[in-house]
Parts: sequence; C-alpha cells; structure tokens
Amino acid sequence: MIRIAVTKGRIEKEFYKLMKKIGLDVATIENKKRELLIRTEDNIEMIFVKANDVLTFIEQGVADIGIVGKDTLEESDFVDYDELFDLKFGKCYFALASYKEYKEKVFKRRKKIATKYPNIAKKYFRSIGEDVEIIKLEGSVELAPIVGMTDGIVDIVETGDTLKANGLVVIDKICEISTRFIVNKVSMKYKADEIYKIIDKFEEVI
Amino acid sequence: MLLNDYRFINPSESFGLITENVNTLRKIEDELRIIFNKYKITETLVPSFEYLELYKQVYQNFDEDKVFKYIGNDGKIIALRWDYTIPIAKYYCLQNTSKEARFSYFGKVFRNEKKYKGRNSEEYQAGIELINIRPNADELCLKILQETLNSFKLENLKLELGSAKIFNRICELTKDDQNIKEILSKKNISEMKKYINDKKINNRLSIFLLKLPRLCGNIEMLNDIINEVSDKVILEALQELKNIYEMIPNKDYIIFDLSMCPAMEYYTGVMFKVYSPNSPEALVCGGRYDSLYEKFGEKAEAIGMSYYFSNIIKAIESGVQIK
Repeated sequence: MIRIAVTKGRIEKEFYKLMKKIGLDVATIENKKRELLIRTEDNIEMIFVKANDVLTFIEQGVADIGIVGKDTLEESDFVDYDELFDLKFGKCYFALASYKEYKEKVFKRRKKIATKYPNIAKKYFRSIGEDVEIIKLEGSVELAPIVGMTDGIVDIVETGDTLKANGLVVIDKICEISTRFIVNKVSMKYKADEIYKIIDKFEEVI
Repeated sequence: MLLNDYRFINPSESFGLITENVNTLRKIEDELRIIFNKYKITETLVPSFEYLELYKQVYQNFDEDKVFKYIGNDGKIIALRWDYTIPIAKYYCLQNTSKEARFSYFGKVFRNEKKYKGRNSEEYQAGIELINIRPNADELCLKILQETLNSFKLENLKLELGSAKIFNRICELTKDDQNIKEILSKKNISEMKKYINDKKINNRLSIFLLKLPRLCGNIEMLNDIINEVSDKVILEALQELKNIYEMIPNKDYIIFDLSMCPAMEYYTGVMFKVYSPNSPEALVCGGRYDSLYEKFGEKAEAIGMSYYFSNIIKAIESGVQIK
C-alpha cells in the first residue's frame, strides 16, 4: 500500500487528470464526500491536506508520496525528502513586482517588500546583493504597494492579470514553479519498485 | 504560594522528562556497550562545551542556527555539544600517536530543531570511531554494526551502502558540487535531465548521470552497473562496495544507493545507513572519513557511526503496536 498526500485545491484536480491518464482509479476519489482519507481501487491511499502540511506528513513518515508545488518546497526549511519528478502542471513563476518606476527610483532607505514567502524573498534579495525589510502577508499581497505599505512584492505570477489589474508590473523573474512528486526517504528504501512504476507511467504521458 | 505556570510547562527545545521507554533505551545501550567492549573499544566521556569556531572551521557549510550557544568567560562563543566526532578527533590528535584507536560514546547531542514539527532538540546518541585500523576497518565497523542490530530485535531492517567516492568524482568531472548535490540528494530525475541538457555534458558521463538518481537496489543492480561503467574512479568505488558486501556476514537486508550524498563533507569512502519501515529517518548513520583528522594536524584513516536513539525507540514502539 502506498499513501499519497495531495495538496487540496487546484493541484488536486490536475493530479486526478494525470492519474486518469495513466489508468489509475479516480472515480473513488471523485465520489468522495468529506472524507480526508480515501482508498482507491488500486490500493492507493490518498490524503487531502494543505500544501505545507504535505511536507509535514512526508517528514513524519506517514505519507510516502507528496504532490506539492515547488513554491512550498522552496519556502520550507525541511529538505530531507526525495524530489523525484516534475509533474509539469501548475506552472508559474516567482517574481518581484512593483510599479514600473521602481527600477529607476533611488531609495534612500531600505526597501519594503510584502510577500507570503519571506524565505524566498530573503534568498532572492541576498542573491542580488540587496538588504530589504520584508513584511509577511497571508494573501492579497498586491494590495501592499497600492496602499503604500511597501515598495514592491514578491509573489507567484501565473498570467500576470492580477498584477495588471492593480497597476503593477514584473520587475524581475525569480524562479520557475511547477508541481513536484516528492517521496519520503525511508519509503524509497521499502517501496521503490511501486513508486518507480508510477513514475515510469507519468514519464510516458508528461 | 503555588508556583505559576513554570511548574509544568517545558521550553519547546526540551525533551521533557520521560519514564516511558527508558528501560528499553538503557537495555539497548547496555547491549551495545557489551559488544563495544568485546571489540576493545574505549568508552569516552566527552565534554558538553566546545568552541563554535571549531565546528565552523571543520564544516564548511555549518548551520550555526542549529547550535545552542553562549558567550564564554573568554568572550568567545561556546557551543553546546553538537556532535561526538569532532571532540574525539581533537582528543586523538592531541595524543600525537599515529596508533590504532577505538572509541565509543553515549550521550546527548543538542541541535536546535524546528518548532511544531514533532522534532527534538536533544538527541540521545551512541556511536564508535575506529581510527587507523588496517586493513579492513570498513568490514570491522559493519561487522560490529550487524552484531548490535540484533539487540534492537527489529524486523525488516535495511542496511544501505553508498560511497562518497562516487559523489566526489562526479563533482570533479562536472566541476560543480552545488547543483550536483542539490540534484542527487533529492534523486531528482527531472532536474538531472535538465542539468545535462543545459550543461551539454559528454555522452558517456551523461548516460551514467541520467541513471544515477535511480540507482538504488540490491547486489544485482550493483553488478549490472559495474559492467556498464567506464570511469576508473567510479568503477573502483563500485568495486569497493562490492568487496565490502562480500565480506559482510549477513547479506539478506543489504541495499545500495549509488547516488547517496555525503551528509558530512569529510566522508571519503563507504557510507551506510540503517532503516526501519517504522521510523521516518535512519536509525544508524556512518561512514569513512580519511580527511578530517588532517585538519587537526594528524594523518589518520577513520570510520565511525552513530546510533540515533529517538529513531530506534520510534521503530521499536510502532513495531510493538502492530503486534
């Protein structure tokens, strides 16, 4: 038996499509009501959790496989997992965004940056040799420069529509993001065959 | 007057006082001690305090945040014992002999772990360091390991072997250690493909690199790959693993991970880990490190291993639950 922890929401839906493509039973999951743990016809146990919790379940060894965005992996300080495979959906990128004047503007103080991802923002600014003040928000990050709370934001950009609607532009692309297939390191020692079987099938369709 | 909340709360770093499993822990400890004694291993009592600077000089990418520290009488930063290998290396090199030595240790190490993730910042460890034993120190170490594993009375253990020589050689060939470490330590098949394309790596090496993240398995896997590899250094490393395998008494539960990355940068040869399906992390970790002692001014070959008791206890506990 293999247990997969899937990020609830968009990633979950896209992942079902992939499962279907490689001939795995999805009907059981689609018919679920409010259960948080489902066993499929293929003897796969699926649990449905929030992105950060996928990592916690992997770390604690209670899930073998995690389906989670690269953004979550990058932001987390947990590193002891195998990141076997890029599922190539949920593609977007991290960017520094602000008003287009940002680039030319001379700041006479530390810049203020709003983000939901302080670790990624910190790493980025360090890599370009800048020191900024980071303000953490849980969502609607674009609002921060509009209300004058910060000079810019570090956030995920998919289409750029939200930025545009709020008068912001991408100043710099930071890194690409997509959904990853991660595995608990000990599961790899005991269930490698089963896990690679799934990976092989994914490799054929992706 | 009754004490306030401090009478029951513990700092989040604390292990808390336990009575549960203490007997189990001590029993295993006793059995390890008997086996270590049999192999004439001298037990050490290691100081709890060390200069932070020493750890930083020994480990290039030392994560200071994990260390409990304070400013000592001499104004320097003191670290609460973070490992046993460094103090033992220091002790050995001060003796100024190049003789064979065998040391063991039992006690806690202190590593400031993340909060709210079910982790302990105090870890009870046991371990040994075998210094300048020639020949066959690797085999001796693994023999001792196998003998001690019996005392855990755990089923379904796996002993995994890898070699730092493979990793070091690949870093040498690609002239890159950062990316290679990132990819191999996560067995990242997709990133490896991308890396090979981006870097335009030559054919022979690229075939091996593409396979490498998936090269985990039993002796058959190792034999197959020995027949395929052409690089002399990698071949030598693989052959060395095979020789060790041949000399280990109990082969049933041995697996190989050829993309294993050195957890400590001082590893130079065989590395090994013991796994149980009931613990999310390895129960025992060890390996050969022939370059560490040089930093202390002494040329010495060494191999050592540590037992992680919280993981061992976890495996024993959940094993009992299942029955």
